[in-house]
Amino acid sequence: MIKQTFILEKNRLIKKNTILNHLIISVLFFGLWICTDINKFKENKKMKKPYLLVLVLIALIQTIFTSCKKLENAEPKTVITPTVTNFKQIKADPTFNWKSTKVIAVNIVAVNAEVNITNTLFVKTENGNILFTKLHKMNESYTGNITVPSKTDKVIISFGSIVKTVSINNGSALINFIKN
Amino acid sequence: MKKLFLFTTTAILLSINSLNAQTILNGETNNIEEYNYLCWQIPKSINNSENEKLFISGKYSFETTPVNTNLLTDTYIKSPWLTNGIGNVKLTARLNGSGAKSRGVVFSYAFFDEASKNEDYTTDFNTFYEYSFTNMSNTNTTIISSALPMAIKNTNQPYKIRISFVGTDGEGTIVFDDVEISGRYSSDPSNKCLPAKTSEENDKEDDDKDKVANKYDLYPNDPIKAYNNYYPENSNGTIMFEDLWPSKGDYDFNDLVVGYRFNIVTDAENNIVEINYEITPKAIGAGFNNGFGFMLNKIEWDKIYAVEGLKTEAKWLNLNKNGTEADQKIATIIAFTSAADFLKGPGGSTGVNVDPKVAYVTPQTINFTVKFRDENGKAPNGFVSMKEFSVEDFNPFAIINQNRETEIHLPGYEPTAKADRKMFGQFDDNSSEGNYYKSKDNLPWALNIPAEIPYATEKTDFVKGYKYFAEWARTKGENYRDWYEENEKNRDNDALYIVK
Repeated sequence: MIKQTFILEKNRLIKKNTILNHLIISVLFFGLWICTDINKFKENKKMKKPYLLVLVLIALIQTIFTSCKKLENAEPKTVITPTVTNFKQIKADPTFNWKSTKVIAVNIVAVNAEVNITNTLFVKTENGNILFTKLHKMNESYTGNITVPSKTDKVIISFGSIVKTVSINNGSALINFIKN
Repeated sequence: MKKLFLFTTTAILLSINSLNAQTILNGETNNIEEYNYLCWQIPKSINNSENEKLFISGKYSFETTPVNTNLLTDTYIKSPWLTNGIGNVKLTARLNGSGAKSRGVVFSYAFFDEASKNEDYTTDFNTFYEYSFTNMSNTNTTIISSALPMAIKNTNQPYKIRISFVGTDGEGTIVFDDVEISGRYSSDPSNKCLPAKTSEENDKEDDDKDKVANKYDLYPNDPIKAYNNYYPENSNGTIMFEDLWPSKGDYDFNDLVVGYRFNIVTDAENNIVEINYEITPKAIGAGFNNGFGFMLNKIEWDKIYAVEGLKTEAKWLNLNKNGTEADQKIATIIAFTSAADFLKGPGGSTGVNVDPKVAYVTPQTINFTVKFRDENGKAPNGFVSMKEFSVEDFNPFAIINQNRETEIHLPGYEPTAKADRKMFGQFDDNSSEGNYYKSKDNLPWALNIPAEIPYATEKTDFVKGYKYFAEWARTKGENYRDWYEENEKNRDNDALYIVK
């Protein structure tokens, strides 16, 4: 069994470095304001304290609100610690076949009988490796099985100038030359 | 006399029928793209009619966009390439909408011209028939028909027919259906809709005359062989055994490690000619002296013409004349009787290629061919089609410690007739009919991976090398389907025997 520890930071969590960034930005703005308006401060000393207080409050509020928003696009981080260190600990279902491959049925739909064209048909992986080759008549249907790595979810059909990417659905790749 | 008359009449009728080929376009698929795949050219100015009241026949008809130009290249359909037409061009049409001053239909033809600079490779189109609707408010259907011009009648030269819809003023459209053009369909959708090659042209590009063009024929001078079908498709596969069956072992899965790849050579009819095997004993992590073979499930032994290239010998091995193992109904081939014959270990080591501290021994690959056909391509006991055979029928097994009756197969795979079935259910084995070689807790004694992967070092549990294997197994193979692929995430190379 593998223990999966999800560090859930997707919702409600405040990202610490984001707070820090906003604080720094706010302080910088405040410093800039002081530098540029220093003369005004000198002239209006009576106004300085409440003005400063308001600015600090605005900076803090901005910091808190912008920092606490949800991190919409954050991916859940998955830290995987293998806890099964012995093959004998594996809990396998009685129906599991231990295969890293799967069988898919290649079903080719015949086109109009008058299209009496014969050409070489290739079934390929998405990387272009050939899984199966046959001479095929367009106006004949065909069903046959091929074995592909389990992770395969698409195959490419190449028939002369016709090239189609076909999804594998329910263990079957349905090939229709005249439909997308 | 009556019989002769009947025969002659039938022959004449059949020949007329075959000569008078029609290429037909009706809107019944309700999908113009499908017609274009079949080499009709139907531009966006033609649509499937959406108004049921206007349908001419069947469930759908075609309708032009408003026709208010006399340009022949604005609103039209072009046929696929045709040959040998002797009859008519015909369609049924009706007007729709108002404000039209004139509406008409024009038939033109063009020949194939390979040197042409236009995208269709046609000569210029020549008009051979023009039809004008006389009453713009009459919406009744009209059959518009004309004989093919003499220039294209019964010619082998590919031609196209263009049917243009023309008119002036108003928003009126033309609804049409049941387009019939005399001529044999001669386009090739698998070759950019260029004219289909004639049998003579195909022959010129097929040296061995097996119907597979030289450019696709991997054996262009061999009329029996045509294609290669490799498995795994781009690398060797890896089979790993634990050899203490029916007891559990240490699960390092390196007691016998075998690399394999095979190529199913087929003919133009999708029948198997031969299978070329490359079998490589890669590691021995056991004290036992093990052999290796495989059954070709579903293939009876006498369907094999010969096994060539194998030199297997053992006291326990008897072969049929064709090289398959004797006394087996299903074709069984023993690839090697002793892995040690091919992997000579350095002295003092208990295994070969399982301990990284001990020198690596370069494995020898055993190449051999299982032939399904004789020299003339004949199969005395019948052809084996790829439709009835699949990679899944490759049923490899280890023969344990020179005991022919002790076989270890992949989980779920059936033993051969030589296996001692009394051993099933002994110790940790929980085999049952149709569900062989699994332990009581459903663990296997052999694994088959469709890729060349490193195996675990001696006495190292397999799951230490492949971090996601256990989770893959727990989820019945649903998660981590790429558990064996090479990347840092998947593997702990310290636990694996890596050949440097």
